Amino acid sequence: MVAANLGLRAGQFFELKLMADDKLKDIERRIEQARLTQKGGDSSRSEEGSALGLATRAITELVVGITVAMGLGWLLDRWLGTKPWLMLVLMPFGFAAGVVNVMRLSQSKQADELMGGGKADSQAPAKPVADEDDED
Amino acid sequence: MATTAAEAVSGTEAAAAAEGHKVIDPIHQFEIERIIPIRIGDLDLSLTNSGLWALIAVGAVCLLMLTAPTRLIPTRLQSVAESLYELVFGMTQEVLGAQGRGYFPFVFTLFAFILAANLLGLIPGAFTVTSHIIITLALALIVFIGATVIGFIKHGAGYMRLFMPAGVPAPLLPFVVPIEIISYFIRPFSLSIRLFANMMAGHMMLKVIAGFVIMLGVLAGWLPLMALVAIYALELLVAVLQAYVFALLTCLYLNDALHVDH
Repeated sequence: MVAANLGLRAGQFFELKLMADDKLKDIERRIEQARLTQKGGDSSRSEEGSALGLATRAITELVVGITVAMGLGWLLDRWLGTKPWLMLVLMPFGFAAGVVNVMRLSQSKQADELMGGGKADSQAPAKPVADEDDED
Repeated sequence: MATTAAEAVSGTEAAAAAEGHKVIDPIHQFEIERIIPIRIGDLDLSLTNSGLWALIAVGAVCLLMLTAPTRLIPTRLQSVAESLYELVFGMTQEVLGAQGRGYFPFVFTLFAFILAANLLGLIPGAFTVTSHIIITLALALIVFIGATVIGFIKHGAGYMRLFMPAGVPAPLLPFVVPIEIISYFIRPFSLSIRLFANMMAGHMMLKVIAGFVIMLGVLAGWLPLMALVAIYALELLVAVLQAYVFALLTCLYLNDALHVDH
């Protein structure tokens, strides 16, 4: 192979170099094309994926909020000897914390990207937060 | 009379359990077994199947990231390594901004380990490291404690402002502050339970449906077999997705620690 390359005349060498350049250009063009054609399919697939991700995040926030608050209340009750009361007091707080987390999730950048056209909503992130606190 | 009846019941239960053991035992795959028993004093430091697969996951990531060639036109393996890197790098830049560069190695290590553990667990006969809550809770607590420490280092006591959102009227503070505190402290639990529950539920479902294939045999077994293939594909998606979600939430929590004020 090396011997064959050495045996090339100058003209052939430049011809080969041009061919190599062309090949590189061609590959660049093909990569660009593939990237453009893949954009559509890629984004829809990742949207499905992140929709599932958002869904699992919302579910766990709700479930874990109540569970952890009640568990904490139960432990405190056992420690202080106030059997059911702290658990019952903390339960609505845990639920509220879960709901607040899900509301924050629905206003997050990821959710906006997923819903599409979230630009109008994302302009005033301060206002929904204030509303949410009024409701509590 | 009563004792014999109880014995008979327990006997049938044992028989049923033995029967079930043979066909469907979806829990068995999560059992920890000692492979190399090591004992130092009262400490049991045995290498278990969980530890072995964690080591395999680390080895697989190192092999992928360190031995992938660096050509201009990437090979398949190289483009896998590069797209993982770019995915996490883009995520840290997007969520944490320019400061994200310093946290990239940590986030990438977490992401790569969880991804490798999730995917390796899908090999039939393999052990899924992330299907145990102790593993995921340990990872989540590293993130949670780390982010809290960083928050206090960057802002001092001002980090407590996280629990007092701006613009809340004073009468509502007794309600809002406990809610904020609880929603802060459930973070490590929601982070770990999400990953662990997803992996465990998926693997149990695969085992149960695989049991149906055996039970129904050649005649009707192909129906659950088709479902099995579809669920396996879904599990591949879940494995990648949960690793991504874990890394994304790590970034979001770090972002809270770095910028309290907004």
